Amino acid sequence: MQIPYNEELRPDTGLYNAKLGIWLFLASEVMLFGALFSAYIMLRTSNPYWFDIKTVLNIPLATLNTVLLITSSVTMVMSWVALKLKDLNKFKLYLGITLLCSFGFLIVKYFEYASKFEHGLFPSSSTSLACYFTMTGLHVLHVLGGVAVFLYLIGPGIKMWDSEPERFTNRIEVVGLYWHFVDLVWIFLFPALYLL
Amino acid sequence: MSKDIKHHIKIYRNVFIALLVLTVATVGVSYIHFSSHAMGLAVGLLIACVKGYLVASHFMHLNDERKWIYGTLIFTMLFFFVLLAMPLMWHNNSVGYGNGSYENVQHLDSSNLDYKKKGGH
Repeated sequence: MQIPYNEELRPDTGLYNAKLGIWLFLASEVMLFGALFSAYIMLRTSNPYWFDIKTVLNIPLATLNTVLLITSSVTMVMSWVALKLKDLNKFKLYLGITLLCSFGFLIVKYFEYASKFEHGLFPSSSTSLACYFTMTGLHVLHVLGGVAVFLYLIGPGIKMWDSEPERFTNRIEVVGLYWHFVDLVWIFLFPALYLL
Repeated sequence: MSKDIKHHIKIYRNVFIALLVLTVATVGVSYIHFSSHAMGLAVGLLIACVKGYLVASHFMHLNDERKWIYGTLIFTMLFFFVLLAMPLMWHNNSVGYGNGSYENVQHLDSSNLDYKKKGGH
């Protein structure tokens, strides 16, 4: 069965279905991360013995991760522009850079986590570390999800460009929206956990 | 290349530069000693909000979207702010500190010192 409105716009919404779908998904994601932020504020403000994790977190590494995610967001949107211009080679280049940046983010995160565990700092060590591992852990899972989709789209999924180029371009726009949301979450996580 | 797309590419480049500058500003601000903690918090969050706005409006194209998407987001933001306001409705009851005892916090403070001595991150 053919899924309707993959390429053409649905008359009542003015959108193709996947675009409205991803925005509804992102709305649920706002609530998911919102609940964690709310819990973090409550735990932090009500705890008289809050362990200040800033002293054990690596700010330069987290700043590097911020730069990597911002760069990946730009290259993601540029890969979509490349498809709009019907330039598949440029698309591959930009999506490839996005993928590299995401791998970079995961590698940096691995070193950050490993350093904490090496020094006996676990989620069970304190409430603040539990918040740190829960929030950044969930974010890392989202990055992993993005990487899986990127690998598919730059690998076997790219075949769709030959048969349905418009639908493939829409797919890239949709995964781009997801990726920018992941970037957006980090933009707030970074100061909330590492700096403030 | 159409003029419209060229214009968009220029915007993406400018937003990228602005985001990098604001990231440096976020880190820089954290080293400034403000008169109150609330002031530092407000400045940090303000910069994060500007960065968030740039990503949402330009990369996610929210500055030019359909009303169905705006409707979904307005509805979501309403509930999001209720979620964020929940801690304000809470009584300060010292919920969830340490592992339930002050000794654990003391232990963590000392392990933190060891951690720094070892040159940890």
